[in-house]
Amino acid sequence: MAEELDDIYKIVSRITGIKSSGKLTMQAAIIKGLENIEKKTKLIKKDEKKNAKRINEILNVVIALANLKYDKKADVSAKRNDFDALAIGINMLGEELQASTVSLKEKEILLKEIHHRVKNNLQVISSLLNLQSEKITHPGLLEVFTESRNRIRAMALVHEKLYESTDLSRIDFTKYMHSFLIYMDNSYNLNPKEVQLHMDINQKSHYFKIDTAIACGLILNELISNSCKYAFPEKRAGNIYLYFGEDKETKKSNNYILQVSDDGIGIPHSIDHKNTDSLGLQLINMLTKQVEGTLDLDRTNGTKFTIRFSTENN
Amino acid sequence: MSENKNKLVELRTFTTWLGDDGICYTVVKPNVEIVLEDAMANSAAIKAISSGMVFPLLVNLKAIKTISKEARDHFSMRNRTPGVTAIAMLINSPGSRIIGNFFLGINKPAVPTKLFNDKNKAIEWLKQFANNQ
Repeated sequence: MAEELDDIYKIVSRITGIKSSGKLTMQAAIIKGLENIEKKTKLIKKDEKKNAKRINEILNVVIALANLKYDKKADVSAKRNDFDALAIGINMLGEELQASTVSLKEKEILLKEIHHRVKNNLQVISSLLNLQSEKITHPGLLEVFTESRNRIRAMALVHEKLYESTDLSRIDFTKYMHSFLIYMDNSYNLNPKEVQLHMDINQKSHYFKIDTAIACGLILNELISNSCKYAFPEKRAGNIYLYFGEDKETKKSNNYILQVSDDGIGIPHSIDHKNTDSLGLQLINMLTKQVEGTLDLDRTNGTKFTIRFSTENN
Repeated sequence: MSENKNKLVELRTFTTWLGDDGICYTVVKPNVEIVLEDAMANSAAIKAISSGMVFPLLVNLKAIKTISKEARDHFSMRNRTPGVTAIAMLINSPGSRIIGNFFLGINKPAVPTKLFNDKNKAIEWLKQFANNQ
């Protein structure tokens, strides 16, 4: 037993550095040793917390850099330890990235400027066509000019909405349609006593990418133009209906229906809407394919074009 | 050049002098944050020391805290100090190691530049670029 105690004493003495001879002194040394261990454990835990905090701080700066936000910097302490070295490196990397890449803010300004210029250029073309058309007396030629002007206007409006939008890659198609219909109403100078335009558009915002928005805008332009031009000859009275909303039949989000119908004379049965010489219908078919949609024509009561499409891949 | 030897130039963040061995020494003061003004002052001091002569430079970065991008860009400028033929950077702290490596990899100095942990090895390497006059 004494030998065992002696061994314990040696170990305690080695760990604590306390030299003792008696049993009581050895007990005191053991207590001292345990106290030291407790103190060191606390220090280690404290260090672990500090280290985790610094790692998080540095990680936050890395995440900020990945998001092209360069104003965030990691703190560098006077300790000059490995964390400080890492912080110095990350900060310097951020400075170099900032100098060599376009910041998000700059990118946003540039994009806005581009959309603004595209819109302006398209509007200039549209105005030129308008001025040119004033000299045209031939009704067929005048119609070609008006159609071209409306198509350009439909595209210009997408860029106008992108320029006004906070998200420069997508537009709220609901808002686009409202602006577009006001323009169409003015352009065709529809007499409300003869032809009325009815809109059934959900007020909910639906965001489309630029390509989808332009394609849908042009489809809309062609369909409404067709109704205005052909459905009500000789001042016949009637209605044009426009519906846009989510396609609830598919039970999938991002699936939409764009529908333009009228209670006019209807498209002659001799015209195959999917295989025709009409530029307008050709455009509608081509653009429907572009948005990976389907095009249906119902001739039951006038003309009803229905386009179903999804924005999941667009 | 001889009258400039061993004459200390004390700046806010550097101490610079020309040694008898024909090497110019620059020591970064402890825990300093080097900004463009410091870098420019350092260049001016080295130009003044050189008086048209050429020599290699030993930069002791061991105690550095941080260095701004503008200062790094200044140090990597061509013809910043036409008299400097080569640079040895002395590092040992984790921070100085990062700054030294970053400077070599990103800022790409205009003259031969190498990192060292050991001062004697750095001096040995620099001697080949020295013009002992």
